Amino acid sequence: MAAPNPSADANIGHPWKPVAIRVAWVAGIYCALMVGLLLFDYARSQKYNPTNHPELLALKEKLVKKPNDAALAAKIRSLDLELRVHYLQYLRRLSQGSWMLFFGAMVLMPALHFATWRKKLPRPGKYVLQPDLAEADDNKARWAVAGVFALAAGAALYLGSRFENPLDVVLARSASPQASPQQAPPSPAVIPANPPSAGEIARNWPRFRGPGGSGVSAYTNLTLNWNIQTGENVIWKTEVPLTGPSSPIVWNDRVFLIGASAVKREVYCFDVPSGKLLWQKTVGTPSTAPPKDEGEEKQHSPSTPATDGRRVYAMFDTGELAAFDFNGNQLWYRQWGKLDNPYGHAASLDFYKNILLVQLDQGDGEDGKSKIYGVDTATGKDVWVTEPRPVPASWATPIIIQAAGKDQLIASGNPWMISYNPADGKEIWRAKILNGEITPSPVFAAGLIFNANDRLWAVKPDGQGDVTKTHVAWSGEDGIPDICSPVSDGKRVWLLTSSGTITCYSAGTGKKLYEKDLELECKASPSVVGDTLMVVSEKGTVVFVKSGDQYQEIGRAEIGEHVMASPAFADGRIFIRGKKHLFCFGRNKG
Amino acid sequence: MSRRILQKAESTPASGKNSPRRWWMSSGTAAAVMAALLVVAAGTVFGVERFPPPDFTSGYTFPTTTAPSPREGWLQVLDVVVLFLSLALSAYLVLVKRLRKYIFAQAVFSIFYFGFYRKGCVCSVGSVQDVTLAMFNNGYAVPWTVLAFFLLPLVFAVFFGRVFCASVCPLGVLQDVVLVKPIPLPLWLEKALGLIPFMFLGAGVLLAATGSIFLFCEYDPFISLYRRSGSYNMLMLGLIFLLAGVIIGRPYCRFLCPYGALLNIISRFSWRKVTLTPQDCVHCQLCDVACPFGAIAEPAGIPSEPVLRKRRRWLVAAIALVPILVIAGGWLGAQISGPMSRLNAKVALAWQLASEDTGRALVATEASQAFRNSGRPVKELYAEAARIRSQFKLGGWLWGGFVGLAAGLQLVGLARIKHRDVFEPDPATCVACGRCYTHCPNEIIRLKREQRARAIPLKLVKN
Repeated sequence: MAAPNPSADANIGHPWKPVAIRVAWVAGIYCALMVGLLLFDYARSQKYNPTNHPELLALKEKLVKKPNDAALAAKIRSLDLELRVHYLQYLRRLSQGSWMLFFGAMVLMPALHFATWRKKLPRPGKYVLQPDLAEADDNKARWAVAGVFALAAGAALYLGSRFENPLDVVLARSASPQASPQQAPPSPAVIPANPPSAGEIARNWPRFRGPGGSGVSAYTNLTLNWNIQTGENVIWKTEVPLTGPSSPIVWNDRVFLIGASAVKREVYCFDVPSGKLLWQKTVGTPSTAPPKDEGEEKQHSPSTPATDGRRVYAMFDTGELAAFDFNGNQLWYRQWGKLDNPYGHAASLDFYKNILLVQLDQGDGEDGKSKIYGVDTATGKDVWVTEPRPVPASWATPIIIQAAGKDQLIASGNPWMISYNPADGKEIWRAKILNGEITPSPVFAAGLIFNANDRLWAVKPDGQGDVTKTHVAWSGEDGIPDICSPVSDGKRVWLLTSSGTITCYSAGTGKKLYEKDLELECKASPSVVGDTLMVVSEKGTVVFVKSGDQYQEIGRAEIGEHVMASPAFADGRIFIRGKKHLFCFGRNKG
Repeated sequence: MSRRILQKAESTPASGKNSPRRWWMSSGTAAAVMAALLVVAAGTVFGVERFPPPDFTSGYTFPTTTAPSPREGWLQVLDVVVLFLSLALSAYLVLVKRLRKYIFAQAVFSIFYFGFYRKGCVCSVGSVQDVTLAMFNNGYAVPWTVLAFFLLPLVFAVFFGRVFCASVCPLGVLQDVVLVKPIPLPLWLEKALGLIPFMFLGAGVLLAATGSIFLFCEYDPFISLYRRSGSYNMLMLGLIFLLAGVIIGRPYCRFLCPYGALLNIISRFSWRKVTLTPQDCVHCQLCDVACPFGAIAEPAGIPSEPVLRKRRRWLVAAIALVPILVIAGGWLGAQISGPMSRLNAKVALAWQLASEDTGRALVATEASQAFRNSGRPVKELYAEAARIRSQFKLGGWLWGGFVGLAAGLQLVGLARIKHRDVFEPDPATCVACGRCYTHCPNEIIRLKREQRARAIPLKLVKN
């Protein structure tokens, strides 16, 4: 049978085609007009929407501040009524118009159908003429079906593998016989009355970045190599009940951490030899509802606790401060209320003799909210409070240094680095050198205070009053970090940006020695162990760099988890807090 | 303007009146106009909005909110009676009368009755979930009307094929009405997408059996159009299906409808089904050209010996693959059961509470705060969630196994050696729309013969 030639046949349209074309035009124009009118009405109606009318919203905000203003309330009611009347009229027109449009479309659709209708013409069956073509088509179809099944399988595997179920964690915990370290009431610990000596402090890791906040380990008998998969040099790994970015602290055979969620704040004590969770204590009331204006990325409990070997002190972004003895008994608790800090309170604790130092920088710098509190470690009561600091909210941790023949408390804020007498909170000197959001903490090495923010500043600590113009030894502008604090071995100062760029300066002269992009994101501050610089990336890669005037990488190791906390060091031990676990690395038989 | 239109319509063949370019232009124009109108019609639905009531200080108290009363008993009976009569009429029109125009007329009635008047609920598609929930939950009693909506189309399918799809289902006939210029889809695409309704059916049954959600109702694309109200996402989904339906025949029915998956299975064994005139088939293929749903199976021809051998090998492999696919599918279903269990409200709440307790969630939700404030022990909730999750795990195995079986049987069907020598509607995929009747030349001759027989009664002539 010869193939028909459509162009040769003049009558393959539907018999109703001429009428259908006319009807389609009329119905189409009608529908287009209806569409135009509805769109116009919709655009006009927006200014009468009572849910988001700007004038009405503004009046309501005013009413919140002046709830007794009767005239204002009357104005709101009148405007609200007017808007509702208009809006309801619009809704009625909309309903009628949409029905009219619908019926127009009901006429248009069949008209289009008949207007575009073409007579079907016979054609020979393709499989009869080419029988092998059926197998080709079926073959393609078989592979397509297999492909869809494979796609579905891939999706199932992907979703199943990504699925982290916290239910499994809590169910496992509740099934474990050791799930509740809180059950046995602990006996009170014996607390020495005298504060720790400098030697005790130096032998431990009592605060954020260790003694003096330097980030330098006193111990060099540490392993710089481990393997998570085989367990080589992994002494233990213990799950932490609540996650958080705060760093571990160590005193003798105890490691302390804090963790928090949206509704709970806890303090943990682990055993150094075994990693066992000895106790976990809740601070405050677990059902306290979180502030409503928190963003989803907000981290809870970024402030590292502190211990003086007598008690452990923990600060939370809810403004709560608590002290526990080493057996987990809460000794005192105080509450500052919600802190005016856009990213949440993050400055860690420090102590000086019997005084716990709490830097609470808040507000905008002009409202006098920023202060440093010197709190009695035994009772939690104020020993002293600084004058209102002329700085807004900040997130750096203060340090205690011995320089110029005296003990000094160095605190950073925008724009001042200020030195206080830690015994009474009186100001000694200040330098107006800082700018922007102050997150990296200062360090003291080589007789200078280094603070990296906007620029790297090296400040001589032996001044009095305003030393801005007289006591800046040098400054650098490269590799300035936004989160990580600097570290120094006394000869060099290293900066680490959150994008993983290491910049090394000479501590004495400020000369930039090298810059190296590790291409790793980092939140933890770098540390120095002997003659090695240790950098922990956010994805859990630890990079070991030889400390020298040139970049020389020694090796790398993996944690296997996300890490935001800075490491802690003890005799033969490195403690690193991952997202879910606390790790202890040291030489073992593997 | 009308004369100009007429002159254009009557132009000579030499002027390209029937050229493909003109065809595409007219089709494109029609589709574009339809698309614009459908989009704007959807915009009207945004008019149905809710806004908070005003703040009264005059002491006015709001009336107590009440739920709408259920449909009157006799009206429920009426719905079932209308459904039964519609199915019966549809069967008559499809199998006896065999005229597309009457089937279309009934389809329009269904749009108005089951669609706009009843607002698409209760519908047979959603009733699958009610019946499933009733089977697995002692506390849920399925209304008899819902049971009727579930059973009647299936019973009719056993006897008469997919007459429900022909002119009764409001979802299907709405797509039928907007079909203007269907384009044929390649076989591989049809078969591949044809697996999705079985996946959807299994997922919906699993979620209903565990008391989680009614998936088919949540993702009913046309309910928002019938009710002229709904979420933006569902409205857009409905519009996408309708727009696609302008050029692809019944996309929802063929590639998503879970009830269609059930009818697909049952119709293969129905007592009566849509047929053309097999003894008179002249292989003109007009029925295949007319069918916008790819439901006409072509004659197979006689393949060559190498092709036959290859086909036999494929058949053996496909049969051997079936149990493997069932097991693999079951295992995959179990893997996905974990994430899927979060669609259950209790599991979702337990998950949120556990996330907060383990620090994974940084912000509490209103639901978790309400639970904590209620004072109920959280361990009870965790235990309940664990129980539901184990149900999901078992259900996941069954669901995945079912999908694996469907895929395996699909492969077997594609590997089977076919011995067809005429064009005939595939009972599994044919929605009994009747378009093929009006195009089959022998069907037309048969109808005219019958009409003449009725008009001119035959008399026995005695010599």
